[in-house]
Amino acid sequence: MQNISDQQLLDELKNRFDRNQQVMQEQHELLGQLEKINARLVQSEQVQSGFLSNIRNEINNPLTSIIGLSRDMTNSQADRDQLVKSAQLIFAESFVLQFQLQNIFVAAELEAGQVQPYVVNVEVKRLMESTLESFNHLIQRKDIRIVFEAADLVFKTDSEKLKIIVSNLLMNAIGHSPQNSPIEIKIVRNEANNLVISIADKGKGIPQNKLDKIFDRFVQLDTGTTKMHAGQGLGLSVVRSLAEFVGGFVEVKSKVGEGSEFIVQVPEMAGLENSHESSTDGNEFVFDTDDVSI
Amino acid sequence: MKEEPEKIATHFLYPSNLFVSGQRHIITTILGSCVGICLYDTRLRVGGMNHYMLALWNGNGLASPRFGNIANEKLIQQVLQLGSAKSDLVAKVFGGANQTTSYNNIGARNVEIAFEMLDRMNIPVVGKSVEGEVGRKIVFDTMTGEVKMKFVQKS
Repeated sequence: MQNISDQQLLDELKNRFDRNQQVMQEQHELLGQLEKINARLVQSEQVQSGFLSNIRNEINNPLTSIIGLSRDMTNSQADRDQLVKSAQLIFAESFVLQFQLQNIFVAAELEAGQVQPYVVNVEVKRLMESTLESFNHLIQRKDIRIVFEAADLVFKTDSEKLKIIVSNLLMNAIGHSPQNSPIEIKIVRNEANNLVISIADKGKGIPQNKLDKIFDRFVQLDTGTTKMHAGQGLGLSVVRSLAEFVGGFVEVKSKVGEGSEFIVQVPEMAGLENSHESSTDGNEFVFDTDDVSI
Repeated sequence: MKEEPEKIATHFLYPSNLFVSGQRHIITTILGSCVGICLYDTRLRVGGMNHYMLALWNGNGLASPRFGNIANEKLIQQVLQLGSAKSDLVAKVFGGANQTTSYNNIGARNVEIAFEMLDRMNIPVVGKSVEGEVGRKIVFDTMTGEVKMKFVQKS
């Protein structure tokens, strides 16, 4: 037996105690992380099942109306006014349906990593005008005034992606606008030479603590049976992913009771064809599967 | 333009995308701080590649292959769908250069997640050229598994 002094014994005990303490601390931290991940998993499970039931309504309801309305139209006794009215309703329903489907397809492509950039010279003002034109029936139905301010600029970017971005922002702005209110749209080129598109509505606004949530997939602040706004919560996540895809970003400013402003900023894209050849001279080497190191 | 000795299908891989094919392809991509993993089946002689920009998806936006954890998972999944056995797969890892002076080294984190995930999946890394300060041009032949690489300066 080794003789140890009381002091040594105390030191050793203290040592072990400290080590225990440290292990406990680490375990505690790990547990915290696990809890966070678990919460995330539970949330994603809810989100997925919510998405499925939601998407069923979003697709089924307009389709049911379209089928019902068109069946009524085949009734030979219907007069012209009735027919026009039905045709308008069918158009409105199918427009929304197509819009939802487009978002689902774009989201699927983005998630599959199969989105190709297609860079052209875009007349941004024209692009916005034609988008507004396609939303005309929704704008008129709510008596919305469009206040449109745009510089005449030609910008090198992906026109199709940009159109999907502004369509979604516009669809949201119209959806959240009260009857007879303005939507302000501004298009400028800023000092950094980026394209800045801002779309502002006078809707209910978004609470500060929810602002970072709205770009998540399948998140809608307004859910349940009282929900006023169509869609399955893909729109803003598509906007965000597409903005990032073209090298830019999207941000939001909002005040409850005053409205929301969404701002998209994208840089001019280089002609991507060139980047194939942009390599300069360097050391080129080849290695096959047997090579472990290079 | 260089003359190709034979007609082989080519694919230019853009950032945030991935490409997997059962047919022979020459996949080309340019990597800065991004990372690309070339995954190759030594038995079936097929493969694919991803090109991701950030290490981890934090739940914001879409779960796209812009993020390493998603991109690597999808790449492996898609190659397995070609009928590959996991034990036949080998990987080569490229990119992750530190091109900016930013303190949070995006490139290094991209590289880290690549090695970590491949290790977890038991897929050996048979070739690599990662980090450093310059970008890379990668040309991957999915039939031979051969990769040609060239350092490129950011234009």
